[in-house]
Amino acid sequence: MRQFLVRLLRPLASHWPMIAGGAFLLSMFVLIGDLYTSQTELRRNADLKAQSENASRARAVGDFLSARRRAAVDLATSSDVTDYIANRDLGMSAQYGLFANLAAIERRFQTMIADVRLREQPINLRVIFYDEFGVAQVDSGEAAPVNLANEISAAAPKVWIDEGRRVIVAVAPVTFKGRPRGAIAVESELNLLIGLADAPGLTHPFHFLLTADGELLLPHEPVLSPIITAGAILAGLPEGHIAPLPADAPAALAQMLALRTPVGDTGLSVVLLASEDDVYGRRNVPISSFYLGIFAIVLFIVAVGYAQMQRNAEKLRNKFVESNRRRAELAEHNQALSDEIARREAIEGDLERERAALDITNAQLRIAAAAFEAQEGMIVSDARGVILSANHAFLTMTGYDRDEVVGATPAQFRAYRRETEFYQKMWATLEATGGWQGEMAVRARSGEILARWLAISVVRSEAGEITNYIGAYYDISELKNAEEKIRELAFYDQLTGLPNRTLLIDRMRQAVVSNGRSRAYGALLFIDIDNFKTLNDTLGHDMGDLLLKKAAQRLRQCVRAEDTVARFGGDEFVVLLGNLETAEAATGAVRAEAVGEKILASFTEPYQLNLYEYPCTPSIGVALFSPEDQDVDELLKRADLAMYDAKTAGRNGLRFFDPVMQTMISSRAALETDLREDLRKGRLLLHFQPQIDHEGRLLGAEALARWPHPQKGFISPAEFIPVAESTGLILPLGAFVLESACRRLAEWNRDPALRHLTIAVNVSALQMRQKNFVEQTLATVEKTGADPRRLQLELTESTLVSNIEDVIAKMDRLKAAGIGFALDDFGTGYSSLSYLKRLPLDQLKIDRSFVKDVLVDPNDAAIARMIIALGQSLGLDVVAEGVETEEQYAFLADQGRLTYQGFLFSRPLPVADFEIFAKAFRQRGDSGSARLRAAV
Amino acid sequence: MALTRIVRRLLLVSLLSAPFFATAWAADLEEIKARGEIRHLGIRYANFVTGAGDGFDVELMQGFAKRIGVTYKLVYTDFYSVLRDMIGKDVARKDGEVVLSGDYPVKGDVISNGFTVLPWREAVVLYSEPTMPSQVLVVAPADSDVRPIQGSANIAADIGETRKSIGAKRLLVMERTCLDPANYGLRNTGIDLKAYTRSTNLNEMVPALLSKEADLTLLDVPDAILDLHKWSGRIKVIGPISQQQLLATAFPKDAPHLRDEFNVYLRELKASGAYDHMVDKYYPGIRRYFPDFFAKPS
Repeated sequence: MRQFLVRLLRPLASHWPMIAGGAFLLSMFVLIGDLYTSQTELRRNADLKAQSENASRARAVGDFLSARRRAAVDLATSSDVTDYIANRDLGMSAQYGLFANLAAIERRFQTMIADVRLREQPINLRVIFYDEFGVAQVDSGEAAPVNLANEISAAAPKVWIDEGRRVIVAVAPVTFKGRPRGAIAVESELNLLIGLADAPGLTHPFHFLLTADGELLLPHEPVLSPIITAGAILAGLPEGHIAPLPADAPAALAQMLALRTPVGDTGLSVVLLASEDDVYGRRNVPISSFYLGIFAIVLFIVAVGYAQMQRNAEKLRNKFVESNRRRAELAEHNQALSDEIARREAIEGDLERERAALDITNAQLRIAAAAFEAQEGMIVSDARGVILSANHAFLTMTGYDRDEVVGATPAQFRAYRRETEFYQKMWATLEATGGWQGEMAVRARSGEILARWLAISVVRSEAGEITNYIGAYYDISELKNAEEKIRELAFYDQLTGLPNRTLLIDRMRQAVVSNGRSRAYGALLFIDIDNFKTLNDTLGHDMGDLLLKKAAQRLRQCVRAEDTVARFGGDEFVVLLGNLETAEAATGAVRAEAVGEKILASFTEPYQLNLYEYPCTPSIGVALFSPEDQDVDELLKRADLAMYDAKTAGRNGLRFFDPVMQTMISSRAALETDLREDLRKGRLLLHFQPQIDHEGRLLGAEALARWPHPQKGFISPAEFIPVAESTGLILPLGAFVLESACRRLAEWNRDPALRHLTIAVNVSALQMRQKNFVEQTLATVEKTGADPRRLQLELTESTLVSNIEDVIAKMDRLKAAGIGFALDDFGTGYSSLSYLKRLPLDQLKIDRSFVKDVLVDPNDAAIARMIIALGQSLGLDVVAEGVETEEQYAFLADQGRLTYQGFLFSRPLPVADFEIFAKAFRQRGDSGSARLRAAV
Repeated sequence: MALTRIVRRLLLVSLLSAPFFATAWAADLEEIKARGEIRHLGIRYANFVTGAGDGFDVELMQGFAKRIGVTYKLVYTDFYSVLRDMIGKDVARKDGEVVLSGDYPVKGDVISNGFTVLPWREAVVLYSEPTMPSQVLVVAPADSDVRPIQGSANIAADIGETRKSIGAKRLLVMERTCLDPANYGLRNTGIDLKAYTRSTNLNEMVPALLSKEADLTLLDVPDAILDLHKWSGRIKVIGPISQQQLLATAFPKDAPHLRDEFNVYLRELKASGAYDHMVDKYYPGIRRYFPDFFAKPS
């Protein structure tokens, strides 16, 4: 079987193109048959489409006419119309009542005409309301007037076309309560149906509206005269079938197809008139499919020939492609060779450039090395600040060896450490700007501080990271010296080295501000050297300058370190006592005056001006300034005025600006002079104030100095004791009192009635500070023959304030000699209890200020109780001073066994009176304190 | 003339009360511009001021406020208080005299409300040019046995025939308004006048009539237009009781510049056609009733 098939097909194999062609032709015939069938179906569908479109247009026309009829009906049944009829039936006149209804109807008509539109064109041209008598009550619109009264009798709504006026007329009857009452007529534009015709002319398919008797309604164009002529023929066509026109149709309509579709029951028809191409398109008739089959066979033969030609062309193209490929390979090899040559040339160029750059770098390195070994000290550190290298100048500057520097940090050479904020700013600037410079003193190995200006530069890697810091130290010693010199010139007098006027005024400002806070007084001493001009004129300016220098030295020695001595100009000096450490004007004046007096005293020694001995005196003006005084210029002016006052008063003197101060100082000076004189002449007296124990026994007395002034009478101790303390007269005064008391003890010792009595003597702090106080006291006791056991020294707490060890030592020595001690005014100072127990005391004296208010001030009462308890616990006698009333006495007596001193018992008495008092007291024996007081 | 006599007497009364008047008058144009606001005194009445924030006169005054560059404020009042609210005096008519009394706060600058131009009112206010015509009609329920007159070309005869139709029927009126019987000589003529006092709203006249509070009622044409539509078939117009009247906007006597400015505004409004639009909007049909008033100047 297989062999049979092989034998059958082998001869056919060589003819396969012919066999394929035959098969192709066969399939073509099948396709042509199908094409014919399709063409026939398409024509039938075109017929249906045309019929459908025509029917749609006919329905549109019918709907339009129905809408007109409904509009008329709506108006006929509107409320406005029925309201009118109702009101008319009520008898209202048109003039006074019905006008409103008619107006409403008219408005409704106008609205209908204006608002009801089709394709932007008003549909309704005119609306009329006829009453039942045919009278048009409302007639709105612009259509040609025509009387429709005859048309309104219809019982049902209707619509028709007025062909003559070319309008559509719709009429609807008006009925009210079942009776006909008129009609509404609506006229509409016929031309609105123009949309039925696409375009005038007969070259295209178009539609038109035809009446039943064949009259052409739309479109109303003269060019359509063939249709007008053929109207009756067209109206007689069977409806719904598209067919060629009959042979008797006008020649202009020959070869055209027609289709008539009636518009409902109106008698109108929509007619389609079109050529065959318009209806079926430009399609071939079915027979043309066979012609197409023949064409395909011919085309097949041509295609076979063309395929053979294509094969030959393909062979040629392959050869051409192969040739191009080989040529491209050759070009590619050539390009690779060219690229290699270019690459090697580029490498050679790069090498050349790098060699040149290396030469430049080497040159720069040589320059950098030379720069590094410049005269300025330079160091190089790593990013952590560890020094990697230092030049010779730096080593010379610091005195360190290179080995000591390398590996250290710059902090090692820093003269002093600054605030952390300074270094933070420095590092921030370095980070931000790559450089920093500023003053940075260096400490050399020798300890010398070197003023240097440090410039630091940052070295960064190509990646931008900091790798090194380079620091260069520039010598600014000369600059700093110059600055210092400038400062000296600005603020110091070149001749004397004292602060000049500028610096003085600055310090004055500081002083007034400071005193404002501390509430302390200060003073300004304006000093002018008397007759300085004469010195200049006679001995020359050199001698004058020399005097000023020496005067400045003496002035400086007269004041405290914190005070200021300034050269104010010429021979004028100003001493600023910034803080007199007192808030009392009088005290301040005394202290200022003391300094002034010291200055005056320092000038008493003549000046040695080379070969000349020159006596010289100053005139001093003093101005005190209180915490409230702030005007520096005013203070200087006051001191200057006071100085001139001193000049006027005869030079070599001191004057206060304030007259009150001056008076006080003068008075005080006079008092001092008189006190000195009377002390020298032994005019001061002792009075004795009795001291009574708790059992009413007279124990002794406190010796009190009294000064009977020849002119002023007795001067109060409160007045002259401070003068004596401030002038040092307290020493001779104390010596006088001690000696007088000792003499009195010696005398009393010879009288049995008085020998048991003790005398208490006040010792000032100044006395206690005397180095030989112990020796002097013991010498006085010995000299006078007094019993030291009857002598008691009263110390104040202020005595203990300074150098208490020395005080204790002196007290111990005197105690050892039998002399007793009392601590006076206890409670008013700042006694340390730890020292109190170390003092060899016998008595504590409650200060009179506590006793005074012991009954009225609970605090004072508590202090008094505390002192009494303290005394008892330490085994000391307690003496209450200033007991003046029975009540005070009673209170104190309740607290324990005390000794009393005060006016309640006796005031201080002259020695004679006291002795009488003592003897009388002794004679009365135990008669009690009350009786004693009565006797006194 | 009656008006002259009223004015003369009014002057006397005004002089006597001059010290009180001085502070009571409303503001003229400049003061209103300075204040920046015009206060429109309006009464809820027909479609002049509907009460719903619109109306013929509301629209009219809003346009005027815009023209003079101020804000507009509608102040509601009633027919009894409207004059007092504008001139600060109570206005009363007594024996043919207009008497002003008392001192009251001035609440508005202008009355615009279909305000009928009446001689006694002219004695105390300034009127603008007419904004609307009107006429007072007699209206009866539909089932009334009073028959409407047929009307003629002689309006006086028509008025006479209407008065005759009233007979002894109860006639509903509202005093001190445009429906005040004194305005039309209806007092002391044997007509049974029944004053409506429950409200000052003229819109309530027809409902009162239909609820049998009276046999007839007075109604002005603007109101009648609305009511004939609203109560169609339930009321009927008998005939006129007055000559044609004019409605206008009223201003205080001391605000002549404000009135003059309003007149200019009104004339421009009419010339632009906007006025006719407003009339048709609020009173459709009134132009048919008063064709002469609304006739365009040739």
